[in-house]
Amino acid sequence: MHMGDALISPLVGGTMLAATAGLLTKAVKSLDRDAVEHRIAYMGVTGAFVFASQMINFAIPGTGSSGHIGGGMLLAILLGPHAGFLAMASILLIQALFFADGGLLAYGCNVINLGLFTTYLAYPLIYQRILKIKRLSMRTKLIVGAVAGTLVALQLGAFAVTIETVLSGRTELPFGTFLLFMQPIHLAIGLVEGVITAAVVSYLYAQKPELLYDQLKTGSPDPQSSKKSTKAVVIVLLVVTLFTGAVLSNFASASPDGLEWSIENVSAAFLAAMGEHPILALQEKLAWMPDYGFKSDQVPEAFGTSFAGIIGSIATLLLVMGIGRFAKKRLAK
Amino acid sequence: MTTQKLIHALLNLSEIEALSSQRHWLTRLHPLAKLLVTVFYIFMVTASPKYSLQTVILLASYPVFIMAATPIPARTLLSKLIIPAFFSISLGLFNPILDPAYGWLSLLTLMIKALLCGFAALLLVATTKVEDIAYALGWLRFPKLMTTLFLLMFRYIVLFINEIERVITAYSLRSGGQTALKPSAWGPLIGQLMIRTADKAERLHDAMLLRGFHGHYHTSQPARLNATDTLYLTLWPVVFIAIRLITT
Repeated sequence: MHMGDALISPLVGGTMLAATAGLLTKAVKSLDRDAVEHRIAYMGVTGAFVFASQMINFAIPGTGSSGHIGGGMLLAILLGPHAGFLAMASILLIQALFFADGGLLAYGCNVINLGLFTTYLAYPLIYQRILKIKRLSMRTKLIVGAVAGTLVALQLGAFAVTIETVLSGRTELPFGTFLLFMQPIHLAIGLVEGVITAAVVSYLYAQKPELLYDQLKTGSPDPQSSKKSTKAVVIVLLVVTLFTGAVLSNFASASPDGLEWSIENVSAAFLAAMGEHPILALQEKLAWMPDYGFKSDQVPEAFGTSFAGIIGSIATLLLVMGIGRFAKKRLAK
Repeated sequence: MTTQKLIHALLNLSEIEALSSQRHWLTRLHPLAKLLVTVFYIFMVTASPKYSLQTVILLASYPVFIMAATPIPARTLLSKLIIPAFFSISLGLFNPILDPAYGWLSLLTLMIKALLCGFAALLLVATTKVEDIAYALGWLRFPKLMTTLFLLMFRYIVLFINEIERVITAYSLRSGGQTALKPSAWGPLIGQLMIRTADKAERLHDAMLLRGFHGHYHTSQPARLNATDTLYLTLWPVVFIAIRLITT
């Protein structure tokens, strides 16, 4: 489900990077200093372990195919939401930089899609809620919680991928078709990942329950319980902000708002003059998102001129390569 | 299959580390300059219009120049890039069907964009040591905890890939060549590995404390940006903007 840079527009990528920066700061601040010093080795090593485990194939009975471990939900269950989120963000950074899996601009999207939904939504709202049910045995609760949490997180992640891709406008896929394509596939993937996560969690509960974050905390008072209401508000606000930025802004009125209307009427002549200004012409050329239009509709007017341009571009590339070779010889001296 | 993937990942990391240890003009540049140029380049590539093949071809000047002017083998980087780049644009494969007139053009542009963005990221890590990347991220106000975690994880990934490769080979030898884990082994095998991981983390933590660890690594910081770094940091963005102005 990793998104690459090519399918992301700078606006969507930049917005998600900004949201990720906020989330990282929040996650770091939520961990108390003692916990950081005592658990950083555990966080790093567990993250590395989950990263490597993602490469293991798990045979799915009766299908001949195999599944993989997700990572986000398992990290949240092992490390808790904040440390789990940070570990997941680190894994995604390593994947983007060293494995060309994801991208630097798409980093924010990937952290939100694979990290936020698993650690900050599915873990506290699904997994931990299920653990509080009194009538079920602990093992059943762990299994149901891990499967349900992974399923919901993947569905949310797939939905976010759809929205981010459609808003970026780099593909022609219509929203409805894309959504119908993404959600059922990720329902199956989520189920497999959920069952694998549940198998691991259930085994750890039987063998070494203190490795599970919730079991570790059982019996000890939660030092952060007083901050819970503030945290809930922050998370809700963050989700609402993301939703507003990512979805509602797409429905923003194409008509001018009050301020634009006034400027248009009061200084029409001034604006007309500005339209020919060289700085405005430059800005028009460099505009990444002219008038909030996510979808680029710059269809080439004539293929002939475009073709000539392409030949010219390739020639320029060859020239650059020649200059590079020359520079290499000079710099080596 | 699993073991091949693990070995491939190990080779990938060791090759990139070896490349970043080479000595040439680009590895000597300040990591911050290289990181900022990379980020700006990716921004310019992704911001180029979806039908403007000219823009993306000209933007290829950056990786082409770097490849030509440094001893980094292009084939090594391309081999790491092609499959992930293809997967990353798989959603764009529908473009020619949904847009019969210009779908092929937008798909071709998308493919080049994916290659260029991937290339830029790989060039960064192939010319900058991981500790220097962490320093540059820290300068960009990345939380210190995140950079420490990033460094720790990067070092330990190799260890775990090695360990999992051995475990999967052992499993395969005992199960008639099967490399995909049967459901009965899902919990016990991964669970056991996790328990060993926790023990390892405890030993590592003790070792870190003995060496005076107090929440973050102390690394030597690169010198300040010199004239060459500033020139590199200024020149490339000017080139990228000029390309955009010429072609649109």
